[in-house]
Amino acid sequence: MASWLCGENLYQAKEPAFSREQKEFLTPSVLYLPEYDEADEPPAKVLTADASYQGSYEFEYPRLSCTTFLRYRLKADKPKHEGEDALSYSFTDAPKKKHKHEPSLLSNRQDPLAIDHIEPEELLGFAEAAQIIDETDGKPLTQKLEVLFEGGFNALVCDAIDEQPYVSSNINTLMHKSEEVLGGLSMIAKAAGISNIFALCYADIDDAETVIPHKMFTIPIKRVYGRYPVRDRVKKLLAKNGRCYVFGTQALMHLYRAVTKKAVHNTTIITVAGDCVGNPRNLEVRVGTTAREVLEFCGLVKNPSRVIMGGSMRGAAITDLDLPVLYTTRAVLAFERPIENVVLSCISCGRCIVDCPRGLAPNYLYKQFNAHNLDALIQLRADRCIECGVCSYICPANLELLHVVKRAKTLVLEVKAQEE
Amino acid sequence: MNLQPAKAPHIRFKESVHTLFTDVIIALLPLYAMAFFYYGGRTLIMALIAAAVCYLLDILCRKMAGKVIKINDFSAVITGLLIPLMLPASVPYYVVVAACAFAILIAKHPFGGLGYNLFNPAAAGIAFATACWPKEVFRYPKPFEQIPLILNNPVELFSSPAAALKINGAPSGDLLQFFLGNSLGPMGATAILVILSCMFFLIYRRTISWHIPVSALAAAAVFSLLFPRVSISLLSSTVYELFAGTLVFGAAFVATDPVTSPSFPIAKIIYGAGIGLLTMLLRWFGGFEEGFIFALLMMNTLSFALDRLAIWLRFDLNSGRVPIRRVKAAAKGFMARREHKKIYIDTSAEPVTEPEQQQDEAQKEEATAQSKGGRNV
Repeated sequence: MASWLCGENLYQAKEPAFSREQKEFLTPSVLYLPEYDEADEPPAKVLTADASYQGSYEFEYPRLSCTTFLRYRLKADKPKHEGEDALSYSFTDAPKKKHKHEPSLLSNRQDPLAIDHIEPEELLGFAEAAQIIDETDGKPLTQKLEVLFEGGFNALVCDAIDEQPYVSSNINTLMHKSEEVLGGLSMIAKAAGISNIFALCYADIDDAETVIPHKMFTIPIKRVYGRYPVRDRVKKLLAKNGRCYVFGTQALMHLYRAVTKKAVHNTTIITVAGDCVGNPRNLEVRVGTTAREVLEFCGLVKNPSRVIMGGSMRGAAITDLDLPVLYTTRAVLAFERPIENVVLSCISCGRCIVDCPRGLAPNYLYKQFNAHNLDALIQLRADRCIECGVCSYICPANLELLHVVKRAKTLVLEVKAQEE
Repeated sequence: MNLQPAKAPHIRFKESVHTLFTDVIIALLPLYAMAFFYYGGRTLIMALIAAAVCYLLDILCRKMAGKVIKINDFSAVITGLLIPLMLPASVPYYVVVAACAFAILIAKHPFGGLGYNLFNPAAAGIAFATACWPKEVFRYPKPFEQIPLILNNPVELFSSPAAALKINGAPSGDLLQFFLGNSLGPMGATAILVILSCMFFLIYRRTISWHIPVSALAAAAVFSLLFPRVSISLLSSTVYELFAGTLVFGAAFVATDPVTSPSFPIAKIIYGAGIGLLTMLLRWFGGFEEGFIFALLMMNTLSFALDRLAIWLRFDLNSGRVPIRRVKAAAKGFMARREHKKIYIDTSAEPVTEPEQQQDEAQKEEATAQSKGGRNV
């Protein structure tokens, strides 16, 4: 019943990628870019931590998941002039976007950290011109900053929680590129006039070889402990600070780069790990790089049977290695052994019920879904699922509970949407 | 490179159903060691016969039902190992075989097989044996008497402490000997110390959960504290009641069968309490000296209903887990208002309480607590 009893202690096999320096791989031979349609207005739901904080793992933009339909395909051009970057990329049809905020406010700032106050409009101009997308929820940073500058928030948080095993992209960025990340955070704080800023990280890592510092550049780094998933504990920690606003680590880094170097957001940091990878590390790649090139860059020492785009608990296994890394991809993992496909019958042991962080009954949802019983699915509140995956992880009969509960959740949400 | 599609999550816990079953079998082996120590090799022959009969009948039933034959499915072997432990060591072999056959052929497979059976097969087999051969099932040999493998001459049999309690008499024997197993009773159910250790082992390995054994024993203990059957000291009477018969063994191994017991923790607690209560009532008013098996079969019918009750409690009553913060805020507001309503007798001229200000404060506290804490519906 208590939240610290839910979930499971996962072995966070994050080394060696956790402590290694990041590398850059900015010159792939092919880039695939996703399509953004400005005609769709996204809903204004933001990740705050007040009484209505739900803490979900789904993304608002389904087209940003790793099975997005591909539109643009770029090939590397030869360098036009001497001394330029060896490879540059040109759009075949460049999207024409109307800027809402003035891009001409991109001013030449010598040291943006040294000034006392930044105009909110300036930051919005930078964020829009650089087209920054927050990697935790897939929203454009402009939209998030607009909501923030409306007011009413007491604290700003940098979300560096990496709770899935093998994934360490956020915490590694925070530790090795801390000046950029925390510089971005402090710029937003100055623009919004909020003094309570901190970073959050998940510190329950058994095999970590480096110590996460408690403070960097006078900004505290608060630690979260506990079983996977940690969202309930994060909520309690954040609620102590009043209304908090959460940004992703890489969005802050890109905002800093946009202000200081006028760089457009076209790279992302992913973890490349797994037992088939020769040099597991965190890698900064251009958005649109294929998984194949990423794995070749880090070296494959064994033949993988599963390549996963995303985290080890919530990611998707891909069979086509030409799928691109997107803004919200956190990791590319390659495992040698396949998971046993043996599915036994449910023995009602109840472990999924004890471990579910939302108090659902995945075994009953599984049985009722297979019996096509929609009323039972509604009564069992399938819409409360946060898709963390602990039920499938712990099931001794190897049932595909997460898959079934996700589909049950879609059905129940449809019915509820129809009722309204 | 042969990439396979897979569904999230991509790491799985290393335990499976097979490891669960092997854990239970490992936990039963010390009990067989104790039975061998007290009653000789006959106990092991009974175990082998029971396990073999159950396993072969299980395969036969699966074949008749057209299911896939899995060689490493040991659920029937567990049933086969549980049945002799609830019978006396001197019981003829045909009783064991009949109990196993009933368990597999009638209590398990007609209901759907593994995962779908309504009644616990081991319990059903023992109930069948009890109903058909009550004299063989309830007369026990003395420990440390070597019972021959084939019963050509009759063995001296005695009635158990449970029978003594039924007629309101105190059982003979030291409590310590009861605890260690040197008493009359079913061959696996007397060594209480070993049973409890094996139960703790299984709880530690998360094969079973603590809710059912603890609530069953607690309910039986409370009942026997309130209504003792013998007029010796209350604590001794309770301990005798708990140790005599198959209650401890059943609560640890038979009642915790995951398929037939409820899945929700609160439902498990009610289920265990029901088993304990019904056991004691059947011991008081039933025909036999030991009523655990029938109590278990009765509560098996209520497993799913208790799960429905738990679902109602969790989703319809509370809309989530217990909102502790809201409860605390409400309690705080309640206490604040109660403080306001108390009458202070003060001899000084000025009034001590300011009712309006305290009420405002209490309301403000409640409002802030509700806006900060509490869960969304």
